[in-house]
Parts: sequence; structure tokens; C-alpha cells
Amino acid sequence: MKNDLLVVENLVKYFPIRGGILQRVQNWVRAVDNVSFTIKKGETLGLVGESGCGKSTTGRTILRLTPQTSGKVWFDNKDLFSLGSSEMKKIRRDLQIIFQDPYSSLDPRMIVGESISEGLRAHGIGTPQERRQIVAETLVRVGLRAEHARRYPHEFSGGQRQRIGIARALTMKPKLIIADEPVSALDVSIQSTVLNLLDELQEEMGLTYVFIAHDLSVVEHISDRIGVMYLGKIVELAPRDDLFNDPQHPYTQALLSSIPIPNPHKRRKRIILEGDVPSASNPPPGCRFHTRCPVAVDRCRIDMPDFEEKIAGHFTACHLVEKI
Amino acid sequence: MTVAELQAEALLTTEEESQFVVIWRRFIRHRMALLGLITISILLLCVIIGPVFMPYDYTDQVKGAQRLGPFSTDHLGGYHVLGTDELGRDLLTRLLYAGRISLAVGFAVSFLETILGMTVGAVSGYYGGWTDTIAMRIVDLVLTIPSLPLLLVMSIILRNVEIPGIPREWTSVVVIVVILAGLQWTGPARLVRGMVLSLREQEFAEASKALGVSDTSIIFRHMIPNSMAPIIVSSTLAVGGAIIVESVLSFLGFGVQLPTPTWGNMLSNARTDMLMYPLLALYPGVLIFLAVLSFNFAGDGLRDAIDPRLKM
Repeated sequence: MKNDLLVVENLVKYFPIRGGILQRVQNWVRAVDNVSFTIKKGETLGLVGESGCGKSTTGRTILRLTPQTSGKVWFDNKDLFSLGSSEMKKIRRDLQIIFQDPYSSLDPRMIVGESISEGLRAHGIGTPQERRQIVAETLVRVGLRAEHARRYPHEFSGGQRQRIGIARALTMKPKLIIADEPVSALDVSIQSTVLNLLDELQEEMGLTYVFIAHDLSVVEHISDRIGVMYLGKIVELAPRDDLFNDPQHPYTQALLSSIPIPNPHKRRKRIILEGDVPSASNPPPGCRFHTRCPVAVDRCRIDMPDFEEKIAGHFTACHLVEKI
Repeated sequence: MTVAELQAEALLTTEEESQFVVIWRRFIRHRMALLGLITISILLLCVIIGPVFMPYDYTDQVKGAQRLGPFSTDHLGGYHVLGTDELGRDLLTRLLYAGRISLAVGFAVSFLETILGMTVGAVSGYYGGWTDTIAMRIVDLVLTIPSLPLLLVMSIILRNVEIPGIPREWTSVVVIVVILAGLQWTGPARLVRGMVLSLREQEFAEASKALGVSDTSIIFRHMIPNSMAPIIVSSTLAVGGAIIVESVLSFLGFGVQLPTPTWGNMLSNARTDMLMYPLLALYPGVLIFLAVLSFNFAGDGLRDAIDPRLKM
């Protein structure tokens, strides 16, 4: 716990589905269901999973951008969910987010410099001149030019906007950045430059990342450890190389087998999953993956598997994986 | 894509710098709108600087020179381009002063209702939940009030109110402005609420929140500037609406009180001898007609120019 910058314990986020004439809650979408993980200082944790599995909701709930249903989050040994609004405001300086969509993450009516210095203004940091100086330095740091501060977002390309989004997070000198699919909306050539920038910044500023993505190769590139999510739960969490070389959970195995090999003579045995992801408002009983699992047994349909450390440092939630 | 998404996308992809040019080009293509804008400009120019050049005051009466026709000279040698009214006051002078009041009422009501409606709508849409429910029920309540009877009652009650710091003859004007704005802020409130409901889900709002920016700052620095386009359109249309309602009230005798002239109460005065002297009613009538029509055309044109998909 001492080295852990962020500890997430049994985080749960349900969204109500309202209906009927009285708008009563009829059901819940179990977007995030009992998610636990820890991140050490300076580490990058990748969170992968398909659309709608709760990756982004996890990130947003940690930041208190959306209220949690239950669970606890410790950041820097402070219980985030019990902080008052003024304490939370203070701690927001250390906790930043980079968004997926570089088009909607910047206010189209605000010049870039204003957007970037907004956090500084809100926290009363520096005089206007000093803030302009910080904006200029940060813009240069992320590979843009100081005079770009006077332009509007529409004058930039997607990759440049993403750099602006990164600059906005950086001005606060954060400890932890939640990167919510920061390169998913960019084309491949731009992806790598933005990823390299994130890498460099981590080294320079000692940043810790939660890196959310659905692209396995991107996550492999940047993460120290990787968590695989399926239908609101983490099914496997392991150091990067362990996960890629020795995936334990059948879902992870299927996911990894879908990565194309850039060599036409090599063939990988692909595991094709049948059917669709079940609805998060009506998840199957037992193991959430049993409806599509190629190796499911009877027990999987009844018993929810625990998320356990099966091998040292390698957590898996599956009945069929032996504990060593 | 839903309409909201399309609107959001349109907002995000519009070119900022050339936006004025684009809007202006689309606006002038709309002939009637341009004509409206020109008419409004001429009217404004006339009522603002016109009275300076008139040799009479709007209260000056020439005894024995009542109801002179156009282009006539009274027995004291004074020339009256449009003639005089039933008390021997110069008609053109009164029309110009009346225009000042009528247009000022229109702009003031529009300004007040927009500010009030914008604030209520933005707060309501941004916070949602109970705040939103309560604010919107209040809006519904205000909308169900039959405005004419209420206006009549209110203006009678408030007719003799003394407002410190405001000259006696202006109190009825101020009262009318406050009543009209108090009844008509619901339109802009709903409009802005709708915009804010979709804007607050945009990632830039979340980014500001994550930076620790206060709700007030997010509302006034992000939500409202991004809803400016429909606000401008609705406030333009509101000017015309306010002028009409003010003249209806004044026509019924419950609006701005004499001797302060407005187009509405001039029309009302002309009513008694309408058949004998139709011109007395025609002048203010035509001016009301022109002003309201111009604002409506300009507002329509502005709406089409700013966002062709926007319907209000």
C-alpha cells in the first residue's frame, strides 16, 4: 500500500434504467461491477476491453466525474470518495484526464490558450502573465508552438488537438493521468507520435498512467501491467509480458489470438467467440463470460469465479485456472 | 445521428474566424431579412437623432390648430409636415418621440427576458435533477398564466408606484418593461436549457470539471457562449414581440401613460375620430407594422443564416 499511488477497491457503478409513468428505477446497467486494482507510482496500467465493458466508466468514476455506487478509491492514501468539495478541488490538481475525442474535448468557442490555462485560473495559480508563460512552455513541450495559444481548436488537426488536451492536463503538474482512449480517434501514424510523447512525459515528470484502450498493440506498447475487462469486471490482470506470453483467462486468450501477425506465412490458431456480449443490464449468472466461453463447464453457469492471484502477480477470475 | 448530435457536430465543425463572413453572406441572400435590417436601422436613426431637429417638443400645443392635415402651417406660422393631433401637437414630433419609447421598450424587454431566461435555463439544464424539475415547473406555470388579464391587473396596481431615481413620466415605461420581461423569459429559458443539456455531456465540460473549474465558471464560460447563436436569434424576434404587446396594452389604455407618447397610445387616442381623421391612426399603425415586421424578418433571416436546421 505504501508505494501504491492509486488503490481501487470493489468499485461499483450502476446506472439506473427508469421507466413507466412514475419514472421509477426498473433495472440497473451494471457498468462497473466490483473492480479492484492498484497502481504503483510511475507505473502504467493498461485497461483493455471491448466497447461498453466499463473501461471509461471506471476512469470517470475514479475522478468523481460521475458518482460511484459503492466501493473505495484511495489516491495518495486519501479516500477520494469521502473528501469534501474543497479538498476534492485541491486534489484534482494531481488527478487529470485525457479524453478520447479530440474534437469534443476542447471548447470550440475558446482559444486554445484559455482552455489550457483554465485549470491554473480555477486554482488561482500565477498572474495572467505567468499563466501565459506556463501555457507557452507547455505547448512547446507537447510539440506545438507558443503562438498556437491564440488560435481556436478548429484550426488544428486531430493529433494536434490531442496534444492540446495533453497540455491542458500537464499544466496542473499531475501525479496521475487517466488516459481515456487517447489515441483511438487518431490515425496510425499519429498514434505512435502521441504515444511516444506520453512515454517521454512519463519519464520526465514521473507520471503514473491509467491507460484505457481497446487496441491491444497500443496497450502492449505503453503498459507495465494490463487489466482485461469484460462486461464490467476485470477478468485478468497481469504484468504485460506475462499476459501476452501466458494468458490464463479464455477471454484474454481469444482476444490475443485476434491480433493479426504481420507475416503472411505464419498462421495463428484463432479462437472465434460465438455470439454477442450479453447486456450489462441483465448479465448472465455465474461467470459473466460463460455464454461465449469455449471451455465453460457447469460450475461456470452457477458460480461467480473470484478474482484471485493465481500465479504471483497474475490475477485471473476463472474456475478453470489452477492456483499455483 | 440524432438531431442533437447533428447540432453539436455543426457547432463543433463551424469555422470560427470566417463564421461572421459566412453568416453575413447567408443573411444578405435573404432579401426580406436585409430589408428588415435596413428598415430597423433607418427607424432607429430617425427616432434617436430625429427629435433634435424638430422645432417642437412632444408636449407643445398650438391652440386653435387641432387636427391639421399634412403639410399645413398653423396660424402662428409653424409648419407641420404630418399635421397636428387633437390637442394641436405636432404629429411628426410625437411619432418620433413615441418611436423612442416603443423601440426602447422592445429592446429593454428583449434584453431583460434574454438575460433572465438564459440564466435560469443554463442553471436548470446544467444541474439537472431537482433543480431542473423545479425550474421547468415554474416555467410551465408562467406559461399557463393568461398574459393579457394579468398585464391589465398588474399595470393598474403598479400604475401609481413611485420608483426612486426614475422620473415620474418614465415609471409606467419601466413597469411595462418589467412585467413583459417577467412573462416572456420562459422562451429563452427553455431554449438555453435544451442547448445546455447536450453541451454539458460534451467532453470539454468534463475536462473543465476534472481541472477543478467551478460550476459557475463552466456555465458562464462554456455553456452560455456555446448557446449564443439561438439566443441571438430569439432575442431579435423578442424585440418585435415586445413592441406588439406594448402597443396592445397602450391601446387598451393600460400601457405607457400619457403624456409620454408611444405608438400604441397614439393609436388609442386616434381611435375616437378614426373615421374623420384616419391619418392620425394610420401613422402610428404603419410604424408599428413596419417595426415588428422588420424585426421578424431579420430574426428569421438570422436564424436561417446561423443554423438552417434550427426551428423556433
